[in-house]
Amino acid sequence: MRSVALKMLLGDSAKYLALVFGVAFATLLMSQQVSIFIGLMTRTANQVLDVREADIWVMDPRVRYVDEVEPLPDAALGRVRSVEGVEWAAPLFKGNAIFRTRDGLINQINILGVDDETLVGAPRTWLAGDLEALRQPNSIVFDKEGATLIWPDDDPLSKVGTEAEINDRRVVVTGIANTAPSFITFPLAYARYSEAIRFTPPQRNKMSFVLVRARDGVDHEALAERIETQTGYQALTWDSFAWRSVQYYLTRTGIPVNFGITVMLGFIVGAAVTAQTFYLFVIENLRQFGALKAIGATNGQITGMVLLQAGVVGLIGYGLGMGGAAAFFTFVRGTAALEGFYLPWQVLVGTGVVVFLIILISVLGSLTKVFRVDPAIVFRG
Amino acid sequence: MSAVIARDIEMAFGSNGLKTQVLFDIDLEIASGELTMLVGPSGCGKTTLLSILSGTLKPTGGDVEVMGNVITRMKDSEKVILRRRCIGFIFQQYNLLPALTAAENAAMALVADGMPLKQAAEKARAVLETLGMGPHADKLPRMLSGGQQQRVAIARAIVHEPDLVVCDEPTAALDAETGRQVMELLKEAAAGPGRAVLVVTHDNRIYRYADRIVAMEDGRIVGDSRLGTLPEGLHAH
Repeated sequence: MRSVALKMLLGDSAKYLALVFGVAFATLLMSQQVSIFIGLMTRTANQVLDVREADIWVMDPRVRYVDEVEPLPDAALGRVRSVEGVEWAAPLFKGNAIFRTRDGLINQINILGVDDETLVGAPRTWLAGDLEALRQPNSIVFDKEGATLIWPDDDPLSKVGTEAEINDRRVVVTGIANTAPSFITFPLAYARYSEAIRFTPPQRNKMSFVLVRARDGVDHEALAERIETQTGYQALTWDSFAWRSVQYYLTRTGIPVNFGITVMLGFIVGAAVTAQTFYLFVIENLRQFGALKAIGATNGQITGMVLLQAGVVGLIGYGLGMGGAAAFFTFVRGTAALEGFYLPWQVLVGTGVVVFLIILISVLGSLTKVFRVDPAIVFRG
Repeated sequence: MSAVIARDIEMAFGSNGLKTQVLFDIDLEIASGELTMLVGPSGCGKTTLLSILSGTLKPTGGDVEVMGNVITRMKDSEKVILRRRCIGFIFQQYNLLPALTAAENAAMALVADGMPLKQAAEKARAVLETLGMGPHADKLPRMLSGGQQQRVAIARAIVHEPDLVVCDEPTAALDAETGRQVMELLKEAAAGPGRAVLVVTHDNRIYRYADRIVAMEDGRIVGDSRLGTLPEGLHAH
């Protein structure tokens, strides 16, 4: 009966395509939107995730996420270094400034000032120049996307050596790096800590974070607690801080709601199209199922046929939808707006489960009709 | 030998308040080796009786025995197996699966009994040959005329060599000539020693193919005649 079921399904190509399209559409919409949402939320934490040398971030107790900075006094660095279990501690500046090019164009930029000696927090992937470029006087290094935003018509790599001004101070672009894109779309620039605080307007305290590496064998959570107890500052492991930044955007912005609505619409439209088409497919074949029952097919055989038809539609639709989503992320890989977005395996699995549920709902709705169909239906004209 | 024995068959549709009795106290025996026609005006209950005799509808009263099996006391699952192995069906609207070829459609009873489609279709092809449908065995139903589709239905009804073949208005959707051809084939291929054929019809042009004619009216058997004679009040074409 399996081959009969497949022939029945494939024989009606219009309905078969509608069914596959319904599942593919639902799969594509859900997986693509969820992946973009995850990518977007990951961006809110990328500045934390990118600093892989640090185990713990120390900050003012009022800071709620990475883009909210309340500077610490310089003395904080020494106090943190004195806590038992700290291997090293380095300052990190994070702030905004106005970048003015020679031709007078201005751009608000985001500056990260990394420790002068260790350069902890500096980018690791270089497209032009190298880490030593940061050690040159008045040097500034842009991430590729930032350089593209500032000089949209030029090759960003050609901008090495370009002179410009930040707050009336001369700077020289000494390198272009590749960094994970951040949620805030200002161009991201790197400088040494001492230069960064010189480039930005004066204020009493300037140290945004203290980055800490724990000694080997020291528990990160325990060390963070010890730092908080001894210094009074807030200390979070890198993953806690990253997750806290994500949670801030999740709870304080309308982004999850908007994406949730789109994902829900994808589910509803996909489920409605699939369930309705599948239901109609079965209903229109009801007389044929009745004939099969009269001839001697059991409810179990017909259930098997419907399940096989649903399974084939589900697998092909899911495959096409997922293929579409994968193709989308491959296609947009090079675009700045969607840089770093990808299709996580968890989304593949999650969407598969949801599609399975859609198919199951469709099948259950149809099977009740098939079970109830009276084989004597075939004797009614 | 009787292929079908029906005793005191009663059938009513609807619930207590709106109950409609459609069959009253029917007693009938269908002999093997005979083509029996169940005739009567529309709405007299002949199709309902056919459904009951073939085990696709449960009567509200009475017993039906098919090839020695009391189907009215069988579980649904047992009736399915009996239908699959002992009964062949020919429907007014053919009820062929549009996505299957003529040979595959004709093979359905064998496939339902577990034979692989390809093997069953080969067997069905041989039956189609005997019905003059060999050249059309690989065609889809939409490529066949009504008469050809009904021949495929005949092949489907006899491919598993059942003891009883039930036909519901087999010529109702066909013109006179095609109807005549179909009945001749049915008489030739389906009827035979050890097999009973029960045809429900109100097409008086085909009465001459019957070995026995049972007439119904208002849910009751009102006449029973054999070998070309018609019950009182019926007229052959």
